[in-house]
Amino acid sequence: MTQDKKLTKIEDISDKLFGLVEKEIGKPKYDVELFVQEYSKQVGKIIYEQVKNINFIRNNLVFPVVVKQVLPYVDDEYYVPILLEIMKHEDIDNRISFIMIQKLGWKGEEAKEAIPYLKRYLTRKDNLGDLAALSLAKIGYDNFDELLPLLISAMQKGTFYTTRMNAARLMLLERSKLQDYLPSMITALEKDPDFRFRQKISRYFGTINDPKAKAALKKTIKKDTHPVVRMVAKTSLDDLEKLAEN
Amino acid sequence: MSNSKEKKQGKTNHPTVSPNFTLKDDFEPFSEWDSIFGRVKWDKDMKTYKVFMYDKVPQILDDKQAGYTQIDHALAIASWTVHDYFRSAFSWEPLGNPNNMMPGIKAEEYTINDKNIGRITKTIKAVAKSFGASMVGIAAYDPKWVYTEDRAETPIDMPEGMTAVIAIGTVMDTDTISTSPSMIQGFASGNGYSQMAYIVSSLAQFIRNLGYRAVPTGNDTALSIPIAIDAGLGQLGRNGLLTTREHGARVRLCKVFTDMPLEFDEKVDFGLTDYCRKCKRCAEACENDAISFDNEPSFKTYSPSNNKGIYRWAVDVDKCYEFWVDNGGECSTCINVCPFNLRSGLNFTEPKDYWDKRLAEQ
Repeated sequence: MTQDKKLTKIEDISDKLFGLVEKEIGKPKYDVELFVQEYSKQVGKIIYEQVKNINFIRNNLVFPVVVKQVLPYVDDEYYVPILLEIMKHEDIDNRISFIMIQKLGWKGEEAKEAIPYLKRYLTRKDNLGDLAALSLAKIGYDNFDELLPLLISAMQKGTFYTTRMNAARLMLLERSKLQDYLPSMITALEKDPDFRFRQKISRYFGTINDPKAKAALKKTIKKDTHPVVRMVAKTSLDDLEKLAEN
Repeated sequence: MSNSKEKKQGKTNHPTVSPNFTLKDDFEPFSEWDSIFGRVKWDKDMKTYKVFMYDKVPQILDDKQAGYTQIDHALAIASWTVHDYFRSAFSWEPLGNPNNMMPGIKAEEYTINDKNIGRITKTIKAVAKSFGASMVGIAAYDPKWVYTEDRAETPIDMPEGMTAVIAIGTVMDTDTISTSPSMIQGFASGNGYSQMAYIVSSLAQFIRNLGYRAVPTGNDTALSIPIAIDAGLGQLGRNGLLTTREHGARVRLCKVFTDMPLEFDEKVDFGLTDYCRKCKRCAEACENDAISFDNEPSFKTYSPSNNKGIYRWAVDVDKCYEFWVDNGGECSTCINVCPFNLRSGLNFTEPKDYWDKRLAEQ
């Protein structure tokens, strides 16, 4: 898109921004994202102020466009603070919560200030509790006694297979701090219905020099119903055996 | 508002990943000998040394799992046919006269000057699209992206006088790619390769018929991704692939080098680097953790198959290939889950639903 004249007043930038956002409703043209890049600092400031108002977040037409086309391009100075402001509201829609929790997790340690807001979700019985545990682990929350049951829950019951894969990855990364993480991973390997998740666990077991993991791989090679899982398990077992030889 | 570390990492203070590459002193043009398909034949340190992509297919097919049946594999392999058997498609020399045609006349050089260069440039793009290209861009010829050697370690000497490279993208099939990982999705890749053979050979002949030289190439000869970026087709994503605004990374790339005078396209920057800094969807979905989880790009590399000295998120291609082997064929999960792909594509299709859908259309 072309910008005839550089806008300088924040009001003009705001008017232009929301004019473009309105045009994206229904049939996206993705023009707004180019505008945001041109004014990433000012737009960051505008959105930071807007998200303090719950009604802005509840606007089912405008806010999804903001999430998809505005947030990814706002200046770093405002990005995490905007997510934090959104998370401060206690009564946001589950879908919005899901997206915000995920985005905060992706920022890792840069989102440390989100820890208290994410902890609020840990008591939830739905997938937001699991997702919050994953994001807390990525951010560096170190109360693993609190996190482990939730990571196990996310790994065994996460709605999406990617959630379950991530839980397994994080447990593996933090295994030195987790007591008895392996039995739950073995159970997940034996019982998860999705072969993509089972192959991932099989791959991870090839990196753990543990007799229980090795035994689980042998069992997988014999019994798993999906050939790709068995192939990966075989590769992992070979890796472990080569490791033992060296 | 935010801590000072955040501010230092702000957009304006970053080296750029693309469209303008940040290169270090140790950057050297890449040898295809070092690519994963080169190394699998010679690199004894590689975990999958002498293990080829289809080695495990017979054992996988035995189970008849949805997405991994004989029909699925037959489809994937068949899709490569034009690419694999029409080797003249990538001939650097003009093709001889086919038996069913009368001898042609020697092409005179079509006059191109300041007045008509814009029109001939548009014509080239229109012709490429007529042959099936989805997107076309043109960049100045840059020897730094040309492989020093091919996969067999034969030196590559681009003919003297090349001035331009026409970068072509073909959109890959959504329905099949959305089944990834499966053998079905191999159709999207193979079909893309076969399409590229048809497109670059035909476009090269068109250019030769106008009296200019043309070198049609697929994945061979030069790095397609930076050339496509130079030609304005897209940017480099966290997943190590060219990502376009419209279709994400769901495009196959090929290119034609030429000495025909042409106008060059502007590079595009639609903010992908910033987007990828805030999104790790592809890394989290990768079947073998081959994609970086780092917040920031860097000069880090994982194996000789990553060319050194380029600022980006390098992909651990050895891990990527390792899954391909266990999967009995390519994987496109990182392409499929990218939000830019979702602008024009599906998210996930159960492999069994793919065939139900196809058969219902009959």
